[in-house]
Parts: sequence; structure tokens; C-alpha cells
Amino acid sequence: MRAGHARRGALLIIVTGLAALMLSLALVFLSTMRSDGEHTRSIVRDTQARMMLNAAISYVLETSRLGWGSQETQGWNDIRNHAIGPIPIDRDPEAGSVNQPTNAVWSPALPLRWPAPGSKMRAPMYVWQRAPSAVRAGQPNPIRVGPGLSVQDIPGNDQGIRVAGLHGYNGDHTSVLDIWRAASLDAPDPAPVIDPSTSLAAFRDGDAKPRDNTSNRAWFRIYRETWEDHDGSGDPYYDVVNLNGGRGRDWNGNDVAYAHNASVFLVTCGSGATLGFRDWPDVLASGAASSFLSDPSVFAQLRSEEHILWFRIEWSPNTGDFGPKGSRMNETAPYEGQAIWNTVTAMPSQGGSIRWVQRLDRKPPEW
Amino acid sequence: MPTRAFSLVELLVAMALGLIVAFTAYAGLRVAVKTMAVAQQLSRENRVIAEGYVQGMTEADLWYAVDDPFDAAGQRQRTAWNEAGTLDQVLDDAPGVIGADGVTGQPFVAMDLPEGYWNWNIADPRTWGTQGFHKSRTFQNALGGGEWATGSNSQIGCIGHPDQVNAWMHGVQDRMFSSLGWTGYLDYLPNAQPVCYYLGLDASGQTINDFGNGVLGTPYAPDGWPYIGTAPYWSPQHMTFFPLKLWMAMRRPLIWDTSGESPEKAIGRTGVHLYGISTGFAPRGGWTGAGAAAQPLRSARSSYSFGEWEAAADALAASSPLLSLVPTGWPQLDVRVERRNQGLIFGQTTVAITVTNPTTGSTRAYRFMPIATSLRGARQQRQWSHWGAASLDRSVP
Repeated sequence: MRAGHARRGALLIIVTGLAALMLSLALVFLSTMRSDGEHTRSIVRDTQARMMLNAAISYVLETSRLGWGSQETQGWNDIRNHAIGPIPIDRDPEAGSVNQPTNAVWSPALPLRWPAPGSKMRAPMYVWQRAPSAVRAGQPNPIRVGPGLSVQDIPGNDQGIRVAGLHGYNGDHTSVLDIWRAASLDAPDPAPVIDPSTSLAAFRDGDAKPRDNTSNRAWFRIYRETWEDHDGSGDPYYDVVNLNGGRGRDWNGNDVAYAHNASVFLVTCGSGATLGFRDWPDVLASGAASSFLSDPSVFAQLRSEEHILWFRIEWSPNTGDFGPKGSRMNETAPYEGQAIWNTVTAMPSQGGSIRWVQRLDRKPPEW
Repeated sequence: MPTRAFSLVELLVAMALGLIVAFTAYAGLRVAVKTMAVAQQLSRENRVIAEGYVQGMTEADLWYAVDDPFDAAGQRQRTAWNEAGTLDQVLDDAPGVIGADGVTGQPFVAMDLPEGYWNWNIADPRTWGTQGFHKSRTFQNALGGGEWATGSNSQIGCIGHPDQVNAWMHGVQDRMFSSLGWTGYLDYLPNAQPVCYYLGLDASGQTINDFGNGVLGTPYAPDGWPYIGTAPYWSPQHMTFFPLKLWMAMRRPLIWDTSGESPEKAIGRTGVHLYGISTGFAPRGGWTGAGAAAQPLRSARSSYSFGEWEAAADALAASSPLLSLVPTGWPQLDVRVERRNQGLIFGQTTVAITVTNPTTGSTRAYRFMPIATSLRGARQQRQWSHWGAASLDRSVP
């Protein structure tokens, strides 16, 4: 072999070695990045699932009073007599029995439907294109025409007034009627996103189509526990304290047994694209097979990529922590002339509050 | 015959070019290796942060740092403390008193509560925070000779009241405080319930507590109205027949006297956290931040005021000792979970994750506040059969 050939071979080996070294470095790099990505995705999934606990709690609070027809209701256990609610405010909560009130929005008839104790609801989460009765604030006025004033004099025009609210310059006017119209009827602020005079129904109902990139990310389910689920029997495994007990006085002063505690909920929080279905039979029962290409393996694949967390919460009608309002009997300013505190310092939740939260470490039998 | 060989010039040029190629290759490789090292470092940091997140959420959900459900050695907060600050299993009631004097409860002490407590029925008058309508033996009206006459909504003043409607709430709250300690009591307290005590006057004008025991000092003006700012309105000897009770935990001089507000404002469950005063749960020994000494007794007895919380921040932060077992050269991880009530916020859990690079010394810190298991949830967890089936929350007729 000639020397020239040997030299070319050596170069080839060197170049190949360097290339292999660079390749291995790149592969290790990519592998590390992929592994890191998996870790990060895992945290993101867990965080999304935990955000669903917040959403589920908000749902429980709001629906303790709203969403069951045209009338406000009075809580998961009615605040008037502790009957199992929700029961509309204009209906008698004492009709029937406290554990099965006649006027409740739920029915004990089988199959159970939400919100009956023992029933479940499912909430795949996404952002609506347009919320019901959506309004939008006007453009903020970039120019401070006056120190907090909505009107000011017009220089050189003693017959006119310049209207300058926080949401925009509304023009110079010489008529009080014009000023009123400019600030209210003709230029309402906030303004409806779509004109209700064109379609009141569209304005009121909103547009429930999901916005891009907001669907298939997270969901929650809620199971409303039956009284047997928290009677301290040890079954299910988390049933360790009897939350149903008690006797007391009703509003007529009679000694009565309390209604069952129907304010305990088991919340399932999930991140991923299964839309909150529990399993494939649940998908079939809901007629939603097409959402998963009618293929249970697609559902199984999506489920395997999800994070699912279980929590128990108890709703309370107490509206949150705030100072007592009103005055003592026959006392208006007993403490060195200071008025009795009548200010709410922490805005209470109008839907009650959550008495306690408990993470479950094992899958519950019902969810 | 000419010889096939390089000329000197050719050799020099080839060597120069070769060196340039070699240096370029070396520089490229060096950059690649450096990049790999940085990527590796970032990867380690990311993994440590992920581990910190998992550890933080685990603690927030399961309360291991306060009570170990699987090891009796980690369950010291299942036992109350006596006045000397040592463990005391005795929670026997004194006659006529629901809780036990001289005992500081702890968050995981076993407790009996009336069965009606667990199914809180706000339609039941016993649950109402009747401001000023509950009857006290002494409040204001003792001068007139009446017993159980006019208003005191002292939460523990009417334990012995003959009317169960007036006595019920007082007994419930006294038992909760004696069993769970100050912070645990607040966690179990129904929302928006007032927390307070009042003093009264006996027929001779002597200041007495709601049990009729005389106390020193003059907390109220002779006409029965309270006044603020004149010594000796506060004395550590107040209510000496009422030791280690709610009144001590509330730290009256810091709440009432500095607030300039009426007691109703200062002593609601929210109000006790106003003006820089905080309450919180203390982790057990070995599970505190930076190895600080545990403060379960202190946190169970009263609030932390002004700069006290900051001074005790390490002792009040739950931090797993297992996190120190990272390999040499890896980023150092510090995870702290703080369960604190302050200002107008109650039941706040904060997770703080800090990662320190051992090479550069740089730190990355994250803080977030998840919705996490509350004390009632944590106590129920410890009663699960696969967690040891402790008997902590019991109903009594």
C-alpha cells in the first residue's frame, strides 16, 4: 500500500470518529431533553389537574344557589331546615321529608340524575367562544382630562361641557340630555359584545363552541356522596367519621333529627383528552364513542397519558370569613364611640364556602 | 530520478492548514461539550425542581411533616402538653368544664365532639353566632343581681348555662380548643364564628370572668363599658382561674388594644389574624426548615405577632429531611410548605421551592399556593384503615 492511501484512510477514520462523537453527544443531548420534557409535562399535567379542583369547588359553590331553573336555591343542605337540597327559594322546604323533600330539584327516581345524592356529573373544560351575556369594557381614556372628573369646562365655550369618563372621550355637549345620552344609552359602557337588539337569544346564550387550543386539556367529575358514604362505617375506605349525626331544634323549636349530610362531594380532577369519562362503558352509555374514533384503544391511550387526582370536599352554607354586621341589641356605639363594625372586610362567597378538603391516595369505588 | 515527496513549503502549508482544521474541530467539540455540560446542569436542575414540586404537593396533601401516620415516633402532636410543656396524655375534664385547664392541645389529638357538630345545621339556633344575645352569668348584669341575664357571646363563658341552646356552642368550642390547640381550633371552627371572651363585674364591682372568678386589673369601666388605653387594663394575672384557654391564645393586647376597633371586628376568625398577627401549624422536629427547633407548643398556644412569624419562619416551614440526600455536585433543593392564616386569608398553604446550583451559586425560586388538604381532611386520612386506623374524630351524643 502506498503512503498516500494510508494517509487518506487515517483522515477518514479521524473524521468518522469525530462525527460519531458529535452524533453520540447529540443523541445524549436529545435524550436528556426528551426526558426533561417528560418531567415537565408530568408537572404540567399535575398542575392542570389541580386547577380542576379549583374549578370543581367553584362549581359546587355556585350551584348551591344557581343554575337549577328560574329561582335561586338555598344550598346543598337547605339553610332553612337542613333538608337535602337544592330547593328553590320560593318553595316550601318542609314539604315531604327532610331527606327527600318534595320540592327539591333532584329526584330519587332511578336512574339517578344529577344532582341527586349518589349521582355524578362530568365537566370537560374549555373556553367558550363567547360567554353568555358577554360584555366588553370600553377603551380606557388615555388622557386625563380632569382629576377624577367625568366632565369639565370647555375652554372658550361657556355654554358647553366636555364629557370625559374613564372609558373614553364622549364629546363636547351643550345639552344636559345629550350628556346623559352620551354617557348611558347611546354609549353604554361596558358594551355588549354582540348587539342584543339584533338577537337577544344569541346575546343571552353566548356561543359554546370551544376556542382554539382550549379543549382536551382538563376536566373534572363530581360524585355527590350519599349519606352512607360518610356514616363512619369504614366503607368506602375514606368513610371514617359519621358526618350525618345530630339532633337539634327546627325553626319551630321542636327537637328533631338532622337531615342527612348531603353536602359532601368527591371530586375527580383530570388533565388530558378523555373528556372526563370514567371508562369506555361510560363513553358508550353517553353516546360519545365517536369522540374517540369509536375505538376503545384510543380512549385507553388518552387515559394512560392523564393525571387523575381524587379529593373530597364538604360544602358549608357559611359565607366565609368576615366580621359580623349589624348592631347589638339597643347599642349603637358602645366602644368609645366607635360604631359597631358593619363593613365586610373580606368579600364573602355568595355561594357558601368549603369546610374541609381531603386528598385521597387510592381510587375510590365511585367517582 | 526525482523523489516523490513534499517540499518544505508544502509541508509548512499542510501543517498550518492541518492545525487550523484541528483547532476548529477542537473548538467545535469544546463548544459541544460545554453545551452538553450546561444542558446536563439544566437537566439536573429541572429534575430537582420536579422533585421539589412532587415533595411540596405531597406534603401539602398529606401532612407528613406534622404527623407521620406510619411511625409512632412521628406522632407527638397526637398528644396534648401540660403546663410544664411536657407531653400529657390526660385530657380529663374538670367538673363543669368541657375541656381541661392547664393543657395545650395539638392538631392530631383525639377528640370527642357532639354528633350534631359533624352535620352542621345552621337552621339550628345552637349554631348561630348570636352577637350579644347569649346569656352570661356575669356580663354587665351581675350588678343587678341577675344570673344568665344579658349578653355575652363569650365562646366559652356559657359552658355551664342551663339552657342547652346557650351552652352548646361554648362547650363545642372549648373542647376543640383544649384538644386541638389554638391553630387547630381555628381550623375546626365554623366559618364566620366569632372568637372572644368577655369579663364582667360582680355585685361589688370586682372584675370577674364568666365563671365568676375574680381577676385582677380593671378591664372595664365601672359602668360596664369597656375602655381602652388606661392601665392596668391588661394584666397577665387576668383570668388566672382560667389558664391556657382561648383568651391567652387570642393575645388580647395585640388584637383589641392595637386595633382601635370594636371587639367584634378584632376577634372574628378573620379578625384574629389582622394587624400582622398570624397563626400556623408547626412541623415536628427534624422536619423543619434549616433544622430549626420545632415549635408545636408555641404554635398551639397563641398567635404570632408582628415580626415573630418571620423570626420563626424556619420552625414553621415543613421541610423533609430526605431532601438533603442528593448526590454530591447536584443542585441543592429546599422545599418548604407553610400552613398559615394571616390578614384576611384563612387556610393558606404556600409551597416554596428553591434550587441552588453548587457550581455557580445561582438560585431559582418558585412559590405557589395550591388548594390542599385541610386539618380536618388530614385527620380523616389518619383514620383510614391502611393508614393505621387512628381514632381521632369521635362523635358523642
